[in-house]
Amino acid sequence: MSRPAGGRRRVADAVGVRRGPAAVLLVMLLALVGALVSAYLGHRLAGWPAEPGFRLGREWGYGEVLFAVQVAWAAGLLGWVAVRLRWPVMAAWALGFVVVLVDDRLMLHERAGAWLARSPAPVAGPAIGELVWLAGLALVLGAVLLAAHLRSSPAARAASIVLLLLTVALAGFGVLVDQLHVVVEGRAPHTYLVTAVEEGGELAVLSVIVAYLFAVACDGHRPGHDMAGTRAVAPSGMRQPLPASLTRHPSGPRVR
Amino acid sequence: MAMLRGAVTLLGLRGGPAATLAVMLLAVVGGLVVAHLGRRTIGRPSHLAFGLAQETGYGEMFFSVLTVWAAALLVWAAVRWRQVVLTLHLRAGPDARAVSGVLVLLAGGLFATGVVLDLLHRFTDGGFPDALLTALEDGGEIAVMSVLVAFLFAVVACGHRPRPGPRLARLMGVRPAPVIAAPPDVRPGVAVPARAP
Repeated sequence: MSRPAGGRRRVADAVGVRRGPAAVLLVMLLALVGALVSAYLGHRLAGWPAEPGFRLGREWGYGEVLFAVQVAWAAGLLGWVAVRLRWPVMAAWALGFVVVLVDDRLMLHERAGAWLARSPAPVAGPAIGELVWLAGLALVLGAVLLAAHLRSSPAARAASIVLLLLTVALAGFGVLVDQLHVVVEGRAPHTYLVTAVEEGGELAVLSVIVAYLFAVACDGHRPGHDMAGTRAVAPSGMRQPLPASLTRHPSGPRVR
Repeated sequence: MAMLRGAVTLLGLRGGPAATLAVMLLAVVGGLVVAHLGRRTIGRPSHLAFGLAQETGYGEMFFSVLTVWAAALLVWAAVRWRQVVLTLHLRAGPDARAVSGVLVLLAGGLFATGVVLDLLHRFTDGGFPDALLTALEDGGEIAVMSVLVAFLFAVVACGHRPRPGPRLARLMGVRPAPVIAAPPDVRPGVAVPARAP
């Protein structure tokens, strides 16, 4: 029992959400995700709440809008970190999140897939066209990220690697569980459970990403970096010493 | 400007995590107001849920989420301070009483946007003035609630304790903050949790 607890603690340390404001924010966001998943299950099982917006995975449903808001928050926090700490790799990540948001909301990959299928290029159909578009996008963004990563400081690289791991977890829900969903759709009786895991998991991981970036941006969190390509400069989860003006709460005296 | 600075300092939103949260929440409110005005004037975005006065629209849902967060943070503060919340103002300690006083002021802001603007709204009959007043009324309510959540976040998560000026303190029934020279590295209103060196 102690090993998983220790593992969880290490993960919470690396993400910077074991205590402090980022932990409070994470609790707030995860409570919201839990409420959305519960409302979706209630909607499917008991018909209450009746509002169709509670259906997870529905275009412009509350879940989709929360996803868009969280991606926008993540992009904003990344942009702030990039400017404030002069970490170019975070600017590359911000660009990636903005592209994901714009692609998702404007359905760019669907449109590009259809356009490629109609074009003289040898693309079999819209689905393959979408894959070609997404692969191209991933290639360009990956190249930008790699270049920025190699030009960043060890602290920035460590923060970037934690973000990469969280993004892989996000993709796990978005791609792997999504594929499972496609397989069981129409064959198994309770596919809404797979939808709940897929959409709820995506939202939960995104909440962790927002809380992590919140900890890095305004709580001085710097993940320890004993990962490949970085030199360890601080124990995992250590918060770098901040200037005294930021670490003392000055509520007592009024200043003249 | 000095008044605004004083208000932001009182709320603990001049810097630090709570100020970041306030910016995040107010950015969502700004996006909702712009989407509402766009929908009413040029028809984009076309989705009905972007209407701010729309029942179960995004604005109403966001307001509900903020209200639940505020309630949960209040309960958390009550449990941590072991005081039967800030409802029993006169029986509360000075810190809790100051928090309660600020909450009363913010509730006044909610009342102003919810009731006064609503009254004004009744005199408009459609068109852009109606869309604008809806944005001010509903957007204002959500904005005040966002500030309230950020203030409670500063109190609960960052250890912020509001110190009102003499006149406000008399109104709230709390002792005013002593006027002393601050240490050079102190930034008033920046709610950041204290840490061991």
